[in-house]
Amino acid sequence: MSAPTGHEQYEILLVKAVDGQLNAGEERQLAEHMERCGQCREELADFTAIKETTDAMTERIMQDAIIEPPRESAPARAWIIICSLLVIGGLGLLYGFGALQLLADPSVPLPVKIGTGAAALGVVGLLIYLLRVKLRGAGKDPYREIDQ
Amino acid sequence: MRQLLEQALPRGYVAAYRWLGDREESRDACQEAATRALAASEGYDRSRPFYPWFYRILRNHCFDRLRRRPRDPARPGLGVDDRPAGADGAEARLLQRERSDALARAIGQLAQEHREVIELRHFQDLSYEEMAQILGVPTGTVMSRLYRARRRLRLALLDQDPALLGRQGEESS
Repeated sequence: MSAPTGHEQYEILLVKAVDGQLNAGEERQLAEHMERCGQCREELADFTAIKETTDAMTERIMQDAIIEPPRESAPARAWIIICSLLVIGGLGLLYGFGALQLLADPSVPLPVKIGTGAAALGVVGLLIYLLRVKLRGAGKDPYREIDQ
Repeated sequence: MRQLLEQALPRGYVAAYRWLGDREESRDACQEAATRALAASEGYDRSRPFYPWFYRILRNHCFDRLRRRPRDPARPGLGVDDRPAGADGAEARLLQRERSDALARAIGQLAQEHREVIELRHFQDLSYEEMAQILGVPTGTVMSRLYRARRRLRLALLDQDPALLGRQGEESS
């Protein structure tokens, strides 16, 4: 079945019609054409049926599309860890030095010394807890193989 | 970048599954492509849509996997409904599966340039502009290729059985 001469302009409109991309003017133009062109009517119906079938196929594939996004790359993770350790180590050193100075200073009242010591212990305790959580999680890293 | 990837991965999975035909392998391929995309994120031009850029990475990766595979003329991945027809709406499911299988075979027989536009438009839901960006051709060419591809699919299905296009009164027994 060959298309009538000058028919090509409607091919693009048919493509857009199937994809729901026609503007009002194009829709009117195609509707007027289809009133007298059986081939376009049939093609539009069949193209739409094809689109519906592929939409259903896509939907079925999408049901399995549960994919966790990957973590940062191994070098990026190493960089973040190094920077974090520098920040924690630097702050710990500063705080530790300040706390020692404070505790050694006889002019500082006892409650201030006790508060400083308690805060230091609390910080160390939290760091130990975070480290344990991190180490426990590292063994179950689902992306380790991918990153390697 | 991670947020863009999260949005792109379900659509990427459909593309990977269409090429690879295996759920687990498709998931692996998506994750690996996403890891590569993160590593190559400096090459992404943020003024342009993200998905076509990621799609290229994914396509290259999936084709690498296909090249490493032993040759399989069955072209897995084109038929998608491998679930048993079961008792729930068995007849409708059977017809739907028949249509999907016939269409999958017809798509598999298309020329590369026609198959590609069908994959991008029908299974990836990309805009004409995004398709043009991936294929490196003008938008008008994308649309005329899409028309020709759809016409070939239509003729292939009509040749086989008009009922595959949902034509009433023409169902085969």
